[in-house]
Amino acid sequence: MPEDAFRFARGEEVVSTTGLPSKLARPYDFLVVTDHSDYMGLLQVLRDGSPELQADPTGKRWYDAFHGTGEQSATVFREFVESTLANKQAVKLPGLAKSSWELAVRSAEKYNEPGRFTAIIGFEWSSHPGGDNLHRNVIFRDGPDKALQVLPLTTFESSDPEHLWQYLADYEKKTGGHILAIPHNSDLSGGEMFADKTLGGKPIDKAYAEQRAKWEPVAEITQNKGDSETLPILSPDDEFANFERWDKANILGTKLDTPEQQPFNYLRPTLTRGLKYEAQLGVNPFKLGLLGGSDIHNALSAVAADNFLGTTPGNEPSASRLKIPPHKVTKDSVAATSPLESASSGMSGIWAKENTREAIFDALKRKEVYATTGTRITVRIFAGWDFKSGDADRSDFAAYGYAHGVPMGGDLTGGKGKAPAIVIQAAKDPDGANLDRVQVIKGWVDAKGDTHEKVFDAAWSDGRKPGADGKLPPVGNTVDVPNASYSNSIGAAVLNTTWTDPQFNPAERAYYYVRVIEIPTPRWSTYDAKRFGVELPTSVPAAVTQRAYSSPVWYAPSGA
Amino acid sequence: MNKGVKFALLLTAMSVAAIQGADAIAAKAANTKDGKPYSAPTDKTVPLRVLWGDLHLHTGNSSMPASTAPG
Repeated sequence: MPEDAFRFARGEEVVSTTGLPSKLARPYDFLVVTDHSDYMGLLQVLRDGSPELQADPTGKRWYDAFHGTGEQSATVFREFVESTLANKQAVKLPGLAKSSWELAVRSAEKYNEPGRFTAIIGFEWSSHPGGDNLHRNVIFRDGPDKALQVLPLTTFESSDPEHLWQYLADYEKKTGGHILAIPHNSDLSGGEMFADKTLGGKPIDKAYAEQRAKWEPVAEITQNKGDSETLPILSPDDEFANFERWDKANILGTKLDTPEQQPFNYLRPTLTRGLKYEAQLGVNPFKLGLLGGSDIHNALSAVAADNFLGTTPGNEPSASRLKIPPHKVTKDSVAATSPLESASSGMSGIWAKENTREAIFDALKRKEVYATTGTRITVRIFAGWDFKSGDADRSDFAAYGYAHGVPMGGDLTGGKGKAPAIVIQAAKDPDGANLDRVQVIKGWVDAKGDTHEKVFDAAWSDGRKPGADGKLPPVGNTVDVPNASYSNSIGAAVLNTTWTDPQFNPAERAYYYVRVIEIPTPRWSTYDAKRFGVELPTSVPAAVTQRAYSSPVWYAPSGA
Repeated sequence: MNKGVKFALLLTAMSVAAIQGADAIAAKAANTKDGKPYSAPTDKTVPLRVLWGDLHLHTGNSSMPASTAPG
């Protein structure tokens, strides 16, 4: 329940659903519990019963099935999902909708300690028309006085994101509060999350772009159900693109992915298309900061590879979890996934002025945030026109950076034809692996309207020299698979640099974000195989390169 | 007043101040040479440390916490 989630995130030891004593090695500074708005709280009344539930014929049937055989119980969950797929609310329980939201809000309030630990109020709006994921997390800047003036929007009311944005606008008008939405799992959207059309099939116009940009300033790029940066087929020159891919089908497995859909499922090509929209409409609907979330469903936000406590109660650590067979979400699903495919990801780093709801929300709005795949790499960037070599090592790095440039999430203008320089500080997780390299990913649109992307190695470890093809040699691999260990004998603890765009064209719109790559480390499944003394499946890599993604900085020509 | 009494009064005064704590004392204007606060973090204008956390987590208050959970 939410209280357990907050206690765990604050660093307390809790007992997992399957009885495991569980604790984070390092507490979090903040947490948002984003329980699904559809049927919020229903599981509890299925378990415990309630007069409201049992007065409803379907509710009574579900209650009986839930307490029946395993197969009967599974049928209830299947009906849940299929009713959300059909946008038909099978059981209407207004009393439960109110009480479960109050539980969510009151729990956050109980554990919110400004300056020490921030418990943010939120919920997930889980729209998946046709099985295509359009899910958004809704984040409140406010406390119970405002958040309890509304109920979470459900997909039974609407599965259209434009209606969600109207809900957000109505909330702000009614309460005077502030709220935003964060899309996630674009990788499982069947090409719909960042489509070039509305859900109703109309081409994106200026009004749509303005609404989208207003309410969705950031997007989740990594989580347990895959990484949504890019794919090898989209970025063939990027040797780090093949990372924790979930690119088989949409979220309910109702349709297999096609290559034509993938540019609309992943953030890098979407950021680039956003530049085209900005040129055409004057507004960029996809001007998105990047962050990470776990999307874990057992209340335990634990995404360190060596402390991965599962994504649901059904796949918490055990000797058998590497062998759990693939599972279909609905009876009509054409694709299935197994817990083995889950990534131990992700989390967010936020450059906020203080640890409060207000400061964290404001940092999200200005996109001064970044994502990691579960590791605690520190990365900070400033882009400007006058940064020079050595500026990343200044003692007044932050103050100088703000005074002479813009941080991640910012906009660069002017420049008088000079190439922009990005000053970058990257430091390893103090309790983790060394860094392999720091990269700058650039996307741009040329005069003909064609989109481009390029990955630049900006700083790297171990004195390596790029080869004739311009590629940096691999850093190496110290992972000892049988012992699930690695050594920091390669890589660097800190990689600071000033990178200047060598191919800058002041007439072309562009964005730049920074990706920090760790040396290879054991995947969570490799740690499991060692701990439980079981065979490591060959269908997943034994080692992975954990990483951080900064939010971009955008450049637009003056007067454009 | 003998030295012992003076010392006791001094200790008492210090204790009262300690009990009141820093927050109980009214703030005064900076008297540094450049007019900026001596305690620079009171003039906080930029983030100086990263905050870590998760913006996306589900609990038993969700309806779909088991293996059927789509996202």
